[in-house]
Amino acid sequence: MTSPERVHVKTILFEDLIMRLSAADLFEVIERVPGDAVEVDFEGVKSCTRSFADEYYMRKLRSAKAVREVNMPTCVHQLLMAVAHPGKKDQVIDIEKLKITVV
Amino acid sequence: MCPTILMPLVDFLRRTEVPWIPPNDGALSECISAAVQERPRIAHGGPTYTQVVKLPKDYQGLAGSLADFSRRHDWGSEYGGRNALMYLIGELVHNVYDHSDSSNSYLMAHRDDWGKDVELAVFDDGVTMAGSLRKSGIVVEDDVLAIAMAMNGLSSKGEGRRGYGLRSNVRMCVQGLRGSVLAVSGGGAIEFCAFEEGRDDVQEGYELNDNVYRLAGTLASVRIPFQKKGVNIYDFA
Repeated sequence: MTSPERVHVKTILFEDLIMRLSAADLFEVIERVPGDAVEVDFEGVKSCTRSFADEYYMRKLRSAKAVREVNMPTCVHQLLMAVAHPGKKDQVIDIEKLKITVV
Repeated sequence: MCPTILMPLVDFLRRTEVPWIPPNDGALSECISAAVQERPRIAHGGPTYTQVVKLPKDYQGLAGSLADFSRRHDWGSEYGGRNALMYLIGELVHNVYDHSDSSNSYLMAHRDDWGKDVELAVFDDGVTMAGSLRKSGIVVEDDVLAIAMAMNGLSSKGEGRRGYGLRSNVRMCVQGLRGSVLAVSGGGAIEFCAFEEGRDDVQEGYELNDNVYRLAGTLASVRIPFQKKGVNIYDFA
């Protein structure tokens, strides 16, 4: 049985994962990899935004490939958990009580 | 001069080409000149006026630009750590690319060793938050309300999964880092400041009614006190 192909995130993108479009670019590479299974290697990744994580998660759900992450740093892992189980958006700004000054 | 004031000023000078008299402070003068002419700053002694970074049109060059920027700020070692700094900048900048439809956008940070804080701001000359919502069919009465709803997670992209970026940034800056956030867009502004322990954080809105005060775009500015301890962004994501 052959090992799945491995895709190195830091090589394709950068060590800081920021844009949704970058996650889409990553998945374009993943989808072109031969075979049904792919390992996504996050070694060297230093930071991640929620926007990237959310796009990655949604693309992974839609992919026909079996995608497995390896060497995933905490920053990516916890954000993927957060986007997999998005919480309720409690109000940050209390619009009812917001004092407005006319300049 | 702080990024909150400098970046809209630079955009105005560059766009209108109006003649201007440089300030007496050489470092500040060089900072403004370099930004207006879109060239790298000449190094200058004195206060830590850093460069106004023009964000690339192409998002593919963005990560490298932001990394250079963050490296100059020691990867946010005194502002909550690398992950927090890149998350903060990343989500603010991401909103520019995703929503603003802007021609020009800028990033700047200024470290204030006297006030013991850093001010970081992103400015774009795009459609404003209300404008972005209107383009997607969401009609909001006024700019202040548009900003408030965006901070609460309303996204012009519609789906329920979107809208967490700005919201999580505001929460992290104020509740996590005990700093403040100012968002100005079109004719509206909202400021959200952390207060001392035991007192409620302060939220204030401003209507910029006269055309003279309206901002031609959106400015998102945060001020974070120096801190050695990193912040766990996942508590706010």
